[in-house]
Amino acid sequence: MNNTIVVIEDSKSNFSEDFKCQKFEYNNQSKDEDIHRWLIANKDLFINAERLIIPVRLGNEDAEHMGLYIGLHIRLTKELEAIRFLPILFVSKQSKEEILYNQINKLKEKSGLLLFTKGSYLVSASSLDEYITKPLPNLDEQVLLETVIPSLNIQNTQDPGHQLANDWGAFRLAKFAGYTLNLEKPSSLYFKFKDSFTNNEIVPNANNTIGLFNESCKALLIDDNATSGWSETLKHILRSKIVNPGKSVSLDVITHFDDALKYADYINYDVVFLDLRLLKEEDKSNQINSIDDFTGTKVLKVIKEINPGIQIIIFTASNKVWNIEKLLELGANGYYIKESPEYILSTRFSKDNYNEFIKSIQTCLLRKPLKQIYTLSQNIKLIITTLVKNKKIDKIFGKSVQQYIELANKIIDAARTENDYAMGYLVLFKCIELINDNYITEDSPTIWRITSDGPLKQFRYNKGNNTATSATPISFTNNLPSTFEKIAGITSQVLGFTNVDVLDLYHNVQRRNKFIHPDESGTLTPIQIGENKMIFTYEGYTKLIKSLDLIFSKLEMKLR
Amino acid sequence: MIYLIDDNKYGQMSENYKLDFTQVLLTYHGFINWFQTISENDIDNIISDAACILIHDSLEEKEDKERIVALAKKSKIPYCLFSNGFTATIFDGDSIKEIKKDRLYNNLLIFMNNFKSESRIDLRLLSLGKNYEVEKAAIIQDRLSNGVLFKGRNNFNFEVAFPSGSQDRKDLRELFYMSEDFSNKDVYEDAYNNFEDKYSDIKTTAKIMEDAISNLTNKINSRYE
Repeated sequence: MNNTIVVIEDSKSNFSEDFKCQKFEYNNQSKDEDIHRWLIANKDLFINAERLIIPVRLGNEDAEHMGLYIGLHIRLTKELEAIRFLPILFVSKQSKEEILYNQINKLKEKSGLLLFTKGSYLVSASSLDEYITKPLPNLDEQVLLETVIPSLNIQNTQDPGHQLANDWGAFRLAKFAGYTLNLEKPSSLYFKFKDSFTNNEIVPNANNTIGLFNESCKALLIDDNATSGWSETLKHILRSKIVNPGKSVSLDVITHFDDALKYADYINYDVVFLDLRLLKEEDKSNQINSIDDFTGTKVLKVIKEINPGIQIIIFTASNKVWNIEKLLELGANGYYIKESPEYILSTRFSKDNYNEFIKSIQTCLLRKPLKQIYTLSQNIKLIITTLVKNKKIDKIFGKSVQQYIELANKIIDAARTENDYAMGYLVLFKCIELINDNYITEDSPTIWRITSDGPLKQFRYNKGNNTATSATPISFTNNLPSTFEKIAGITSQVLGFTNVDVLDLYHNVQRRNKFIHPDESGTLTPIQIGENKMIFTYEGYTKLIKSLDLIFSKLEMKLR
Repeated sequence: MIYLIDDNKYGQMSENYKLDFTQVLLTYHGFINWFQTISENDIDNIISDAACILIHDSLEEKEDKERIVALAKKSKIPYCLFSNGFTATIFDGDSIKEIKKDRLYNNLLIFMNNFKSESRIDLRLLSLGKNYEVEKAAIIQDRLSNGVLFKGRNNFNFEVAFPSGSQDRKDLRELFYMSEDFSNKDVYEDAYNNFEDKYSDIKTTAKIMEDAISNLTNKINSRYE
């Protein structure tokens, strides 16, 4: 028995005895996934094989040259390892030119191209003897990858490839996340062909828990293909690359466009991953000209309308800069370019794409406080609109406060540096000054008055026990109440603020003062310590907007 | 009427299959009817007057597809299931249970022409195009030659190489039938029996049998040259 294996139907099994070959029985497998499984399951049969014999035509009705298909699967199936490099004798009466001619202009897949590559030999059945005894070299891996496979030029024959592109994208993301999906890789020739070009990529670093986010994370994935690898990979990424192992991670999923449009609980999520195309038709249709027409864009607008602070990362198969810019303009907070087999990207690009994605998630989680900031802002704006409408407050005052909040939010939303955060804070702080100017007037050279509510009392901050309490006798420095003294008077005398709430206002004012007038004595300036340094983060801004929300809520109750 | 049930769009037809589908529908108006989606009523209408049903295997309305195929089988209407997920062309009697989509669209005009001029459904045209016989002969020759050699190159025996009732025997018979223009079935039967008798002789070798198969193929090819 020599080390030749012949792939043949059972009805022709005498062949193996005549030629003293091993038989590998072909049972009319005709679909890619069946051929793939059949080859993998019988891999051990080939351990000592030196060459393969495959009739070009196998099976009952063989217009498609099934033998060549099987040959293509052998060359392209990574799991077959050394078997891929074996010389293959294809058997036919026809010449390779005749076989290929038969496929040209008829089929997208031209399996006949395999006959023109190294390691493939087309022989007639009558000349097999000669080839069975002749030493034939195995293919070299480099030759297979760099010469043979690229010549095969396998095209996508599947219906326009939403599913295929999604499978490809999920496997690519998983690969760069160092994760093995619990899904079988697609076994179509096209997928395998494209996958062969990614052979030499370096798998990314091992998990590193340093610098992971030390808070829980609640994420949502909106994708009609969520279950084909995406949610699994995202969970892995959130658990191992983003969030500290001690903290909880959850990922909910919405798969239908209509459900996404109607969903009411977006506010509960720290980050939303949103696919740009949520309907299969969007891949087929040539009608989509504008980014606004995509289902994902429509959902993006709905979510940002609910609360602009909800963090959204878009999954898009488009790498068109103008599309991505438009999505960012519409409020998207990051994007990940879903890779597609239609355009193989360089490994460098794939890595950058992945790393940027990780950074985007991290940034989104750091921006979690924006949701609360926008919720409070929306509440304040609504109260002011109602009060103005009912003529309870001055229209210009109300409008000005709304404009400052809007401007401050824009600055804080776009903030990247410490000074950006402080700048947003200062603009928002203008609202405190507007309130003071609107409600405090100088009654006489020594008396200050809260509009229609009597004289302004004095509040002092007691550093020893960190409290703010009203003081007697009243003695404003230079008979000029400070910003804090004014707002403290309004809020405690008129709006019923507790001392604790007034203390918050004190710190809000101090934060602004220490930034504008830094104390240059000592090693640490006051702006760098304690409550004051919060001006450089979302925390300070959140505290200020909470105070403003309390002021306007109490004002609304008083004026109701 | 031939019914084509395919959820593809016009643009995709021309893009993927280089087929001006509007032209097909105009040229063969009254002979082909195209449905992108189907309803319950459509199914009854289709089954009532279909000469043949061509249906996309990956149609979204999977249950409707299965119902149409079941009804077509019951009513003995030839059907053809196409999809690009299919690799091979597999016949099921007079119907095709699997064919690649690009192969079907590549041969659709030939199939329609034949139906329009001959009022006859010939799904072989859909699978192998206008030179059906040449292509089929090449397939059979390849399969039989391999078989003859694989099964008895040193010790050929007709009955072993072509067991009675086997696909190979049927193929040989079809090849023989295609090689001559037999107008009378009895003449054909006699001629074929003589052919079998001749090669069942003990002196027949694999080489002789292979040459005989080649001769049959050459005869078919010569008619198309």
